[in-house]
Amino acid sequence: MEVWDAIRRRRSIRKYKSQPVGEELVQKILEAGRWAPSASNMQMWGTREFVVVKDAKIMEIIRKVSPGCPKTAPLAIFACSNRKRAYEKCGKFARDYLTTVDCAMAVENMLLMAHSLGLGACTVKSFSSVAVKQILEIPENVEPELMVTIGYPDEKPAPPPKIALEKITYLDRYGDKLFKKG
Amino acid sequence: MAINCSKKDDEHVGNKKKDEGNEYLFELATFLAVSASGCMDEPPSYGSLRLIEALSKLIDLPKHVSCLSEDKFLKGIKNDIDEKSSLILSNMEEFNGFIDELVSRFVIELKERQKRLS
Ligand SMILES: Cc1cc2nc3c(=O)[nH]c(=O)nc-3n(C[C@H](O)[C@H](O)[C@H](O)COP(=O)(O)O)c2cc1C
Repeated sequence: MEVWDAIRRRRSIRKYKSQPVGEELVQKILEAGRWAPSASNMQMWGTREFVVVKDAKIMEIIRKVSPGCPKTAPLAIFACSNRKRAYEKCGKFARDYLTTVDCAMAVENMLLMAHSLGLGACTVKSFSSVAVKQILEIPENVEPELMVTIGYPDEKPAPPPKIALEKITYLDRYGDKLFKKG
Repeated sequence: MAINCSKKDDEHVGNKKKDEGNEYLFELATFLAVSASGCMDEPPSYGSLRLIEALSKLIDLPKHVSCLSEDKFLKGIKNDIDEKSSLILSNMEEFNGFIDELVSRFVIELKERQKRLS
């Protein structure tokens, strides 16, 4: 699949079939996350970690404490920032900001990989971090930044509105339009 | 006035149904608690979203609690909520309009019910 096709046709999928996702597909998605960029390449210190939730019972509890989690998601991956390691290796800014950005980078890679494998995925932030940490026994200095639900899609959503490029792009100076009319 | 379910339960419904009702109530309570926490950080409009999602779940209560009966008006509301709540992601104006419309449907229904009761 072309990169542009994957970017353009990926949609947040919120309805899934019950069909389980094979282990090798999960691994490919995780690899896509692992290969994402990170500030100062700090991922090599283990500042970005992934928790895969496959157990149906645990998944059900996760769903119950996550108002934004699609109801039928069979599997989830939490992209977590290890803030302690980030602080130790790269300082305060890394701990408070960069690790979160790094997780987002990984998540987009995972979304695109899932899509290219014929799977559907959705980023979820509307979950109780306190509850998720307790359920998954995530230590205090590690933060579940984003959840990605994954499964075989059971819907084909229409693309949501996206703002026109002309309205958000400038040339050389903020406010000077890159795309001029006419 | 509180409704006593227990007698009817003893006669017609086994403990299984009772457990199911309690579990459902617990699930709804969990949803409200975690939503209360989420609303601290999420966009203010998500407060409305979570409330109507909770309303949709609440309307399902009769499916799990035998002494309640399905309400036609509420069922219609629930169908619309489930269909239209995603508007929050695509068209905020329509979402707001939908919430206002929900309220006005409740007002009409309130008046009708009052008429029926008096
Ligand atoms: C940081 C972030 C958090 C999100 N959280 C949720 C969420 O909790 N629940 C949900 O259903 N979708 C969530 N989404 C998905 C967005 O709603 C979705 O990306 C957006 O509506 C655009 O749709 P598209 O992904 O199909 O282009 C989130 C997306 C991002 C980037």
